[in-house]
Amino acid sequence: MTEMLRTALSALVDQEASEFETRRALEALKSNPDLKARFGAYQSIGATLRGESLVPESLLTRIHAALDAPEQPVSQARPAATQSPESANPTITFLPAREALPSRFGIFAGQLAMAASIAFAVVIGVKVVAPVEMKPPAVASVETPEIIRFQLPVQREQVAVQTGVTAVDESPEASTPRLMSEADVRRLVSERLGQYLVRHAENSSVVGTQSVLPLARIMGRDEPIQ
Amino acid sequence: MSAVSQSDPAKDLKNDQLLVDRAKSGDRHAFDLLVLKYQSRILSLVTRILSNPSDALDVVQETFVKAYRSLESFRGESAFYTWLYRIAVNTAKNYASASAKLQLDVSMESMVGGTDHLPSFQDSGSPDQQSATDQLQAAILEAIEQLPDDLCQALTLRELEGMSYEDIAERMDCPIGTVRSRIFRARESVVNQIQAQFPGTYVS
Repeated sequence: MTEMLRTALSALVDQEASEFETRRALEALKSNPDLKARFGAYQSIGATLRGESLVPESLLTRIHAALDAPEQPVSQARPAATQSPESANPTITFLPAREALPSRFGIFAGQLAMAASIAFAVVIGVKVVAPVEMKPPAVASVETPEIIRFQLPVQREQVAVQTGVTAVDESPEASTPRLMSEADVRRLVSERLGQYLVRHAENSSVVGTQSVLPLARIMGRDEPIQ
Repeated sequence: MSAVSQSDPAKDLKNDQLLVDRAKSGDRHAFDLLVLKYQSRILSLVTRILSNPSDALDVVQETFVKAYRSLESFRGESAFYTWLYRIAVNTAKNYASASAKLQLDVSMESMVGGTDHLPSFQDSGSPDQQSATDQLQAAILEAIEQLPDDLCQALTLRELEGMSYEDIAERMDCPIGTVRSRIFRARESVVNQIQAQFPGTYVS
């Protein structure tokens, strides 16, 4: 190892070597591996002065082994790099937002669709199960709500039975259909709707499907239809 | 001279770019010089992110492996160390987050199952190795202190102050060739002393 070559290496450590010296040093490295160790020694002197960590000499061997091995990360705990180092951004991306958003949105949309379809089925079911033609009572208030006119599921005769008034009653009032007050009608509708809701809830629990029925029941039971 | 300039960035770029170009063409020795040149700086950088010395060394290794495999994408628009710095920080942060997740997974599994799946920690930093490194650093500092004043001054101005040969020559009032020679002789003296004290060191 000539002194001139080592001088060139020393200058190369300091970025002061000419292009000719650099090329010559690289050529000499091919036939004289001690030059590389000398270059590392020069570098370690500067690192020690600057308080940097000294790297074990085995690191270069490890790097060679890794480069010669099939491409894979050094540690299994380390994820493979997918970014181009040229455009590497030193920030951590824990979860790609574009992948996370559709899954959460999909779950929410699915639940919403299921809830809407069940609510629709409940409304249709109530209409189908009680398709009784409803006529507003003669003395009903003029401002009967729309929902009462369409969904009132009782006939006068049924009301008479349910309220305990028999058809063979001899009393003068029995010969004519009994008209119920608006409050009674609401109470009966609420009771009957409650039965439907309970039955539906039982069926839902057997089938195992999700339902918004508990909410509908609570709403319907706590606040009778106006 | 009113202000001392650091080493010429254009020259830095030129020196490194030449090594990178040679490495791109398949010259593994050129890449080795880049590794030897920057490994200590990269290790110091990574150690600030990862406290475990063994993990830090793994990340340094991975950084250089990635750099070598991505050399084609390095177009020389920035300094090679800047490019390397980004790879190292990215790799270290990914390693830290992956390790944290792994530790969380392991702790959760250990609550359920046995301990057969637990990773071994035999690769963690060896006290003997750390002790040897400390001894080597102490010996280097001692050897530098024993250098003649002109050699010691030239070396410290270069290594600690980062001054160019030209600025050192101006500061020490001597030709650039003398600065170059003094720095070289200072290094040779330290290396010879270390090799006498620790046989086998700095031998490939």
